[in-house]
Amino acid sequence: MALGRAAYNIVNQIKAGKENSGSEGDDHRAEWLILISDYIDGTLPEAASQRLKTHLAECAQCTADLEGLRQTVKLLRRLPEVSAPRSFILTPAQARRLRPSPVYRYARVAAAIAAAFLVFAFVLDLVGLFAAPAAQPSAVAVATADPTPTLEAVGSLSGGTNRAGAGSISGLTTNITATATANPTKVATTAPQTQAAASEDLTPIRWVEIVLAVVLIMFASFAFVLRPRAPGRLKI
Amino acid sequence: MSNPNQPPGIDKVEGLVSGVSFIPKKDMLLIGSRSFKAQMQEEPEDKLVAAAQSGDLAAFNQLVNLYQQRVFNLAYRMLNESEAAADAAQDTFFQAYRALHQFRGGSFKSWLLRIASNICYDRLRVRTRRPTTSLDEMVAEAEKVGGSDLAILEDEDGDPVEHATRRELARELALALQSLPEDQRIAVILSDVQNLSYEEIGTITGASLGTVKSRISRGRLKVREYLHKNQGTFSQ
Repeated sequence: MALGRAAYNIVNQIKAGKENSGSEGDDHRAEWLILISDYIDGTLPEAASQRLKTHLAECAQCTADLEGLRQTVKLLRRLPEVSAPRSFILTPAQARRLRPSPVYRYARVAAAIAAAFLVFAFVLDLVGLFAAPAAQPSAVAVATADPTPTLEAVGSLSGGTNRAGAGSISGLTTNITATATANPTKVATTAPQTQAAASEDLTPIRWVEIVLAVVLIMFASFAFVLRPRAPGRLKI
Repeated sequence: MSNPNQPPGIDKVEGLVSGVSFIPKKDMLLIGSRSFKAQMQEEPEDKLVAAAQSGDLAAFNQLVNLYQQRVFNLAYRMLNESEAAADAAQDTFFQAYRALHQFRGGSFKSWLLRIASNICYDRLRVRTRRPTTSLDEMVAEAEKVGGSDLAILEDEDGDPVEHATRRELARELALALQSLPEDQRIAVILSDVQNLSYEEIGTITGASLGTVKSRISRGRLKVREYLHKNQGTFSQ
């Protein structure tokens, strides 16, 4: 009887919003609550069920909780399914916008590959792998004739390649043009042989870079245009 | 599905084209002439998922048909607003279609409901940041929700007083669910309204079994206390 009154008081306290966490009654309640809930769902193992039943026989509070939770579950389970106001089937147009063709994925991969090749080409250009075999003999040839202009010629040549290497992808074309026009004019006054050799040998790598840059921009544009849109922003 | 009398090799073909238990060899020639829709209706879920993953929109829409009610109802109970729930359900299917290639087997239902629950959490977060729903609107919506729930909650031959009481109870039930913290609300909805197992709820919410049980039991208790506090008719 006393236990029953205690349970009643606890319920009243909670009802009035005066739940006192950490109190003995709440600890007791929390200890058994999950078991009671599990028991209602029929998922409590047999041994634990027996232990709970023994406890329920002597605890009015937990018995009240069991009954209350059972009724709550019963009510919640009787809540009906509400009919959806419309069908959520996807139209072909929606599907196309949500999941673009595989071209999108290929364009991204192709852009990445083109970017990798472009960087590789820049590095080769910087190292001077393409220019070196032709440029060095010319420089040596000039050096025997006149040492002073040779230094200038080599300096201008390496300066040109550095500028191209340091340039960004977007500024590539202008860099290339600048280098191509700057080198001959500077070199022309000092070492005509060097200029001729350099312009001939630099052309292939420049073309590779230009083509790679164009391909990269093209694939990146594809990937951007065909990118999937977030559902929230869809206007379908 | 497997039939001990069927010839070897048929099982595989049967799984690919139809869900029927046995297809005689002579009928296999007719499979191509059967309507696609008829085939799809017989397809088991994993076949539909596989077809949808390979880009078959009709197969995906079969899955939408299977789960749209469930997804909508989860969103409806979480958001307590019909139009917002419909938007959330639509976004769930948009997102599912877009992320279909990421589905790695298991329960498609759980995967879909996980997307839905994440979308609901997002919507609730936005709602918290920009509260546009007043308490009056919430009550009005709960009344609507309660009204639509009456079909099940009320007895056909009930007297007017009983009817009013049950209507009030349905309204209170909707509000009681809204009063729960989000993690407890989704656990209670999935458990008691949608009748899912603890394991499924764990998969959907990403919580451990112990956490799921704890959330359900605490959520149920809070619903009970809410009803108890706001309505003297709970014991009916």
